[in-house]
Amino acid sequence: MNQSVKEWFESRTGLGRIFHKEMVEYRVPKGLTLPYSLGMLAVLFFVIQIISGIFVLMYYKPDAKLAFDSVNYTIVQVVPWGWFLRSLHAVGAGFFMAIIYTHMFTGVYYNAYKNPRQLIWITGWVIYMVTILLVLTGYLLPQGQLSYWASEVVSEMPTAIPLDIMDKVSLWIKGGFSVGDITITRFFALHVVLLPLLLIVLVFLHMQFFHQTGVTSADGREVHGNEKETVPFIYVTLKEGVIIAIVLAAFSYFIFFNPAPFTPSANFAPADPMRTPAHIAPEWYLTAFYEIFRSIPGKFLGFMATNMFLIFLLLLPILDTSKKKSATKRPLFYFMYLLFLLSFAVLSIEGTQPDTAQSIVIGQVFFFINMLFFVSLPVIAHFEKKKEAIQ
Amino acid sequence: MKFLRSIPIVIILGGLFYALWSGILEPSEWKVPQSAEIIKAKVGEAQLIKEGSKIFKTSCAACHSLRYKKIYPFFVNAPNVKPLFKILMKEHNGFLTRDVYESAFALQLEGLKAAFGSVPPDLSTAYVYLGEGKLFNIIKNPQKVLPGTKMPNMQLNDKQVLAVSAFMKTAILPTAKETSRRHLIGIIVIIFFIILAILLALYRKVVFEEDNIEE
Ligand code: HEC
Repeated sequence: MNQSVKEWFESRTGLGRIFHKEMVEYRVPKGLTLPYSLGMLAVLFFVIQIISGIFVLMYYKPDAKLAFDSVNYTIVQVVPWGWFLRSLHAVGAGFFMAIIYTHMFTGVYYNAYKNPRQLIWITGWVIYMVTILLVLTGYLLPQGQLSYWASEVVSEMPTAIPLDIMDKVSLWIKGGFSVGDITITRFFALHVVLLPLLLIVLVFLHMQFFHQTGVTSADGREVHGNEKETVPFIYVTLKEGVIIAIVLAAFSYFIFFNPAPFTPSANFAPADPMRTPAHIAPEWYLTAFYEIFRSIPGKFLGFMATNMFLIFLLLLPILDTSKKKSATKRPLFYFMYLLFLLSFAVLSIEGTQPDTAQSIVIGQVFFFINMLFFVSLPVIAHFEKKKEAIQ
Repeated sequence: MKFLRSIPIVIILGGLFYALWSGILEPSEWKVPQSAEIIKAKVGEAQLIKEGSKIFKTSCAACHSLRYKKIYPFFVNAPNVKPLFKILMKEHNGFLTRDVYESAFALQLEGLKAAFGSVPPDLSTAYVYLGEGKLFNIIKNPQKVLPGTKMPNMQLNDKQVLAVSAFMKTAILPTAKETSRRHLIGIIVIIFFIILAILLALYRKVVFEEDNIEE
């Protein structure tokens, strides 16, 4: 009976075959390290965002006068378990970004962008961009002071490019001369419909691509298609299950005990176009860019410098000409990689602090170090080739 | 060796997230004085909230609303305003959304603005965005924190200030009872996930042994 039901469905859907192909036939290298689970975690948190998002969406009101109260009063205080949904969505966004960054930095560490995985890297980069748009549009929605002023700053960004048309672009983003009702509904539509849909498609492509090429092994060898050195993916999901449970335990700590770091207190002041806050900083996942932007003199140069990081990131498959993979086998690369991480961390932290002469110097120095990593890649590749030739 | 190599990375990223999420990057310049902290501990939060509610309704509500606690400025009691106010309160279950409140009482709010230079803000969320220390100092001595402000010094003693502050806290943050309920749920959920992790790890070991898989 059971078997015939199974066959009835299988002959009509073919889902079992897909499951078998993706979980059993798809094999991954033995000895994968913990950071290899970050992709799965990112998917998990994307799902958490969608589910919690749907529920807060049921009570949220995209309106300049109503949004703030619909979040801070209706959802958090009136709706049963609304505080939980709101925390899920706010803390979830923070975790999601933290995981995306760590996943990306892991990819850099293992050189996961190299031939034949360029398209995995590029889709990953686009996912990163879309995620940034998602958090930016989402940040406006609660209509706090930070929401308002951060959105003002962001939608003025295009005007850093000295072209007449950019004023129009900025106007078009906002739908008016300042952030207002139209901007909210506009960002709202992007945040709940267009960007998540885009992300779903992109994540699907990203996953399809690495199922096609396989992942790199931790020590940088190509073992895809080698039965001996790989295991069916389904075995790895068991390990990922353990990691997911541990991360969810940490996540629960923030939800139930300490959601404050994810809902900045300054954003509990209702948006007020007449009152500029003394100190505006974006959320932490953008403070590195913010720090670069404000420490480079000149709006246009600052804008370009900020984008350099993103562009270099995209160009990694081209910049890193070495055939070797994984920092575990490349001491020079490993050293530069540490500098890269360190500079990113320092820029991110300094970006949360008020604008002072000291923060400008720190911004410039660590921006330089950050760029040094990208620029050094061809040089490192050159040395590695030489060393190989000697051996 | 593999382990050693990951240590600096864990330190950098761990340090980054610790700095960002532990709150050490936002030290508050205003503090509740030590003497007041002692009073707070002695009197107890429940008592303070009770007293604060009275003080707020009798003095602060002259100018400020506390909409999340369904408290509106005195002007709603004026004979020419009260009928409209009553109807609106009934229609909206006591919570007037900003669009309704600001259009229905636009005249009265304009009046406050004319008197004080700006409309005294709704204080529903002030406890969080000002922080306890800054709020305490504003109520105690507005001129010190907001130089040139038209907010009057209400001549409250430390205990009264603490009381108003404790009451304002209840407008936006969960009560002590609700907080401990959430903590209890949190502990149960965290324990659940830890047990789940252990069980999954054991299950994984069994499966790997049975299927003769090496890692
Ligand atoms: C006579 C009218 C009046 C009374 C009574 C009054 N306030 Fe105010 N309050 C104001 C005005 C006006 C402002 C706006 C000051 C400014 O923006 O500079 C203000 C501002 C504030 C602020 C700062 C809000 C912010 O966002 O910066 C707080 C906090 C505050 N009042 C608390 C209180 C408390 C608590 C009481 C009762 C003990 C009280 N006020 C009584 C008029 C009043």
